[in-house]
Formats: sequence, structure tokens, C-alpha cells
Amino acid sequence: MLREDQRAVVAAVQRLPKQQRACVILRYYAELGIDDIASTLGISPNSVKTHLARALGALEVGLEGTR
Amino acid sequence: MTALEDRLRDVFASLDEQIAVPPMRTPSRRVDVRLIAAAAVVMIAGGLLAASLTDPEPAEIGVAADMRPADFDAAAGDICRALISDISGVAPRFATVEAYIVSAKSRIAAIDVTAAAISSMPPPSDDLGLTSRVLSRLRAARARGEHVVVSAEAGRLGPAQRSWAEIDWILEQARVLLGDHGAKGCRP
Repeated sequence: MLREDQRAVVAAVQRLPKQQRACVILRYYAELGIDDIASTLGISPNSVKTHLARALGALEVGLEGTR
Repeated sequence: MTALEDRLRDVFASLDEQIAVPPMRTPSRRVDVRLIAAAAVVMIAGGLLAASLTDPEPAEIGVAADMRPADFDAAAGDICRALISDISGVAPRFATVEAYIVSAKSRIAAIDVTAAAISSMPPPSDDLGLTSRVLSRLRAARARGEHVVVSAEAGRLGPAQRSWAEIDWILEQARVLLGDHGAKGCRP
């Protein structure tokens, strides 16, 4: 059973914009490297890094107080 | 590795344990378990697919009660829209094993997040078995994705391509189940 704090993480990831969500899932679940993520999504590696940075920032805010 | 990144990895590791068999990240077991899963998929006909010979229909995960059908449909619609968004435009651009491996892993990741979201909700009060049926389709689609990876890693592009072509078809079956129940975002 997923804990409540884990469900909060899933919900927060679901709320991310499409590209940010895709980058987070591919990086931290599929454990793909930056170049592989860029190739999968058809974007530049720098764009991947930007999406990841923004996604982590949004998740930090969205998950405040959930642990 | 920040605390948030640790937390993300913890959640995804839990998804591996609860929803998907075989897990994506157990290198020492990966090949054997994937071959078993791929063989199971091939052997079982029609829509009655199982991700593993040893893994029965999943029990309700994190669900203590039910919810109003309209509320379930609204939430399911959002989940379907997120899944459609996640998989659109992601496909092997070239007929290479690397392209199929990367694309299949992307599909698997999207499926697992979808399954986690679905299983986090109580089922609708008018169809308590709906969530389980949807999860069954998601697991079947995941098994196809795993077969793509296994085949591609073995250099067998033909089987990888055939399994790739089936993933989205099975995902559509899951969406149809939800759409027929009333989730507008899931209707083709």
C-alpha cells in the first residue's frame, strides 16, 4: 500500500506540466541519462536540465508539509 | 542527491514493488524475470493477460472504501489525459534497438505512474471491480513494454517492433473501460 506521503508525491508529479513530468519520470523512475531523455522527447539536453530544475522546484513547493 | 530526489526514488521503487512485475531496476534478476513475463504474455490469449506467472490479480491497493461514480470519472479523466499527454509523440524515431529500448522504457514509466494514480483512488461505488480491470490492462501493456526491452536488448528487432505496436492498443482497452464508465477524458 502506498503511504499517504508517497501518494502526495504521485499526485504532485501528475500536476506538473507535460515536459517537466516526463523528464522527472524518465530521470528518477526509468533512470535514463540526460542525453537519452533528450533523445526520447526530441528536445535538447539543456532543455532537459531546465525542465528537471523547474520540476524539482515545483515539487519542493507542492510537497511542503507533506512529510 | 537531495532529499526530494531521494523521495522520488523511494516512491518509484514502491511502484516497482506494488504494481509492476518484474521491477525495472533489479539488474541481477532482470533478464530471467523479464523472460518469464514475456513468455507468460505470449502464452495467455485474448485480453486475459498477466504480467507474471506468480503474480495474481492485484488486491485493492490503498483503497479502503469506494467513491461517487461522478467523482471517480472526473479523477479518471484527468489521469487519462495525463497518460495521453505522456505517451504522445514518444516513439522510436529510427528502427534501432536503442530507439526501441528508450521508447519502451518511457512507455513503462508512464504506465506505472498511471497505475499508481488509479490505484490511489477508491473504486466507483457502482463498479467495485473497475479499478482492478483497468490495472490488469495496464499490467498487460507494461508486460508488452518489457518484452520490447528484452527483445531489443537481445538484438531481435522484429519481436520488439511487434510488441511495441501492441502497447498502445492495450492502453486503449484500459481507457475504454474508464470511458465506458463515464470518464470523459478517457474516451477515444
